Amino acid sequence: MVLSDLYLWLSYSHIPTRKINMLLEKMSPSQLWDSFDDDEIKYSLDDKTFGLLKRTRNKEYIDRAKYYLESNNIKYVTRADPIYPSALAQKEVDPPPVLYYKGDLSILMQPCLAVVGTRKASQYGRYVTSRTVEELASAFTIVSGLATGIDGYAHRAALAAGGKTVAVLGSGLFHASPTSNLALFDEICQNGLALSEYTPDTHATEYTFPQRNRIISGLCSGVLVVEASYKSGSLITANCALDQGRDVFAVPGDIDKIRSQGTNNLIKHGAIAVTCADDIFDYYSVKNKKEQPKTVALDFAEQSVLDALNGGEKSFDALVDVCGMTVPELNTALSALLIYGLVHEKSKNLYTVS
Amino acid sequence: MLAKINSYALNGLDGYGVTVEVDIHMGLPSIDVVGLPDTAIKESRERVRSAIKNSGYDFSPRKITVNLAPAHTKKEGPIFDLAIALGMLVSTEQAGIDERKTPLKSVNDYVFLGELSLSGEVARVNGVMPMLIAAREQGVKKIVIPKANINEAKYIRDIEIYAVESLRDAVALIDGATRTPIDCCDVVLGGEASGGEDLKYVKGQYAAKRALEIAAAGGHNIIMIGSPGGGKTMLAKCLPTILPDMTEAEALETTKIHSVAGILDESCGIVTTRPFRSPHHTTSRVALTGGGPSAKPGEISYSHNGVLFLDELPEYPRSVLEILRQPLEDGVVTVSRAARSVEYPANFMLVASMNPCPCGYYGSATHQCTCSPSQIQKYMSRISGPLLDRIDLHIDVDEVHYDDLTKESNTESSADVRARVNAARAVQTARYAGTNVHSNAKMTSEMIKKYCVLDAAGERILQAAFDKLGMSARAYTRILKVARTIADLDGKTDITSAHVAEAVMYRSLDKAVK
Repeated sequence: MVLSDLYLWLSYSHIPTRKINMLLEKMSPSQLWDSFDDDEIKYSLDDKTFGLLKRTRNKEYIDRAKYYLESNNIKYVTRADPIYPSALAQKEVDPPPVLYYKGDLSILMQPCLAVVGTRKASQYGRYVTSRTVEELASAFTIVSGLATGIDGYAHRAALAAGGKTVAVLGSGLFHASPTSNLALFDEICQNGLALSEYTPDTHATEYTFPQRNRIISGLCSGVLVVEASYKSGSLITANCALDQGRDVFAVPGDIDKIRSQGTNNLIKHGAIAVTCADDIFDYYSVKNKKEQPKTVALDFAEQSVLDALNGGEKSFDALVDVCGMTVPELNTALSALLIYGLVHEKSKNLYTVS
Repeated sequence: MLAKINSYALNGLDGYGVTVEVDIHMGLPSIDVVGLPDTAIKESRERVRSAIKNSGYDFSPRKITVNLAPAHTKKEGPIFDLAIALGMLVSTEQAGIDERKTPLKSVNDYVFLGELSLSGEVARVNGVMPMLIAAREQGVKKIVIPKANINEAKYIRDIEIYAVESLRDAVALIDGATRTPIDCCDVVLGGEASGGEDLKYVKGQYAAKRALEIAAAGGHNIIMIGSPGGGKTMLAKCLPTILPDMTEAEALETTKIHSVAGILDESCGIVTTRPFRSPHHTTSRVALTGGGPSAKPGEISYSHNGVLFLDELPEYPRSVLEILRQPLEDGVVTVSRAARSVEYPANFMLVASMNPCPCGYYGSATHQCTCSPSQIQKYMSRISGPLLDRIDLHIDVDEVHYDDLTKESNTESSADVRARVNAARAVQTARYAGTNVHSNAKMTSEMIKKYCVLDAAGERILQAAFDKLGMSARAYTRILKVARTIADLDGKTDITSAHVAEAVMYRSLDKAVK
């Protein structure tokens, strides 16, 4: 048996990764395979683990699994392979024996940054994610978890900016969820990388999602938390990042908003506050390759709206009062500014300069 | 003796002549009504008997057969009471005969419509206006209607209309007493809308008010999305006060439907202001489209040439909303039942309001939304894509702040807005003269190509909007139509980039899809 097949055996035995790694500390995979029938091993394992390993310790079974993966276009990389992401091969990460993936594994060679946050994103969170990731994607591979909310926005923004993105699933590759992001999943498989430590047929459970968070942070040099409440799963990712010695970045938010409590709390405890992509570029001494927006010739009305907004975010009604324009004039000017990208709608009916 | 009296019945909005035949013959005393009568007609036996007796005529027990010809169509309502009573009087030789007791030919010159009360008074009936129009088209010269229906009848010319108050009145008429037909008068349009709030009492909400103005000017469907308490319903209630004046043809069309349905204002007699209907969300499908055994019109036809306001759109059952799709496209609804199939006009402007999520506060600046993403998605998906596709203007209605409520600002009154709307509608009427399109919203693709030509700057800004704001393709024609209306409001023949830019602002749901 080659070493990679042995790792596949361990993965297909469906023993928790933590147990596998504890086992591998004592002996190598080939030792385990060869001397499996020895009493010494039998007594050192609990019944369940022993049973799972014994059941799958079958060369034919492993070959069948390999054939199955190949015929379903699922690629995999084991810890025996040189292309196994080196960032993961660290004790704190609890590296999985095998990673199953679709897409291009080489994008992990680029510096990676995780962008995570609540599933219940606000318009603010969505805007901040899109804006920041569009810039970050020029230098970083954006890693996230394919969930609704911030995760999805981060993937989409990275793809839209022509950057690379990695989705780490909490289930097998055949059971990507949520359904609303399946189109996104397909696109990521085409233009990025979707990977999972679980065998393709594994269904997600409430335990698998927190488990995969360690891989999100493990792959990256830093984790950016955009919006999170106190109980958000993205805080688990931030904790993993701390355990693994990764950097934690957080976007500050309104102190009254539930969705900002988690991130504000992170900052309180020493996370690096991020208000623009440049904060991260500067931290890693990477150059922001974002093109400066082309200067647009603004007419008088557009200029006065922009001036009014430079004084702070305003609602449509407030702009009417401040600029002293008629509603059609303001509509036209504001629409043009939105289209040029000089102004954006921060939340419903609240406009601010980009 | 056999007597024949003319009357009239309706099938949908079309009328047809009914001959009421009354025959008296030997046999046990009874009154039988044949010719597919409904319960109301069967009961008319009792009303007619009392009315005849209480009007001072003789009603001795006899065997009487009443036939409503043609016998194969279902008849309904108490509208034949008067004709049946007259038939009985003629056949018992108490009316409509000369000195030699021969029937007067002149009886058959008239068509009689009316319900009788037990005392012999002639009461109001529904559907007089469409019957008069149909009768005139079919060559009827003289028609007798209840006096209570005089208000809706007086707008119909080229037919002699006599109004009677009681059975005795009607008998006098056929006996040759000289009566003058009622005076006709012109339709006076553009009266102040009854009910409805004035726009000047709406504080703030400039963008929404402007969108309503555009919607009213071009007849565009509009949806308002916002948190509770933002004033969506109040804004909608302002709409009747800024809707453009009706044309005479529109007024008559709408009156016909209201007359059939019996919802016509008796004192006015004609619908001169655009109807504003707001059915509750427990409304059934039949109540909305029309139906029932006799295929009556529904809310969408009541709001013909006016506004159908659906407050809290997602609360309506999906099946009720989906039936709006075809009428929104075609402007008519065909109600088919076993007994009959009727086409009613349903050219209405859809005004809808909804919250952005179940709790109502998604995107609110002051409240926390407590809904999960899947709940929001589920809520939004209650409105199907094809239905949203037919709505031209989407606007966000924000909560009103305390400052706005107390601030004294000189906002425009509805009358000012309405003047602009009327001017813009006049431009459209002239543009679409000779077609069956009345407003920008109903433009055909051919017309869009002809009347919505963009200049280079306009094309550029639309292109940029699609790229930057992630608009869907379906938004394209909607934006063009709305831009056309904005240009009309502006008094310009050509659509400029400014008009396009403003039109782009009203696609908030498209932007949200990104």
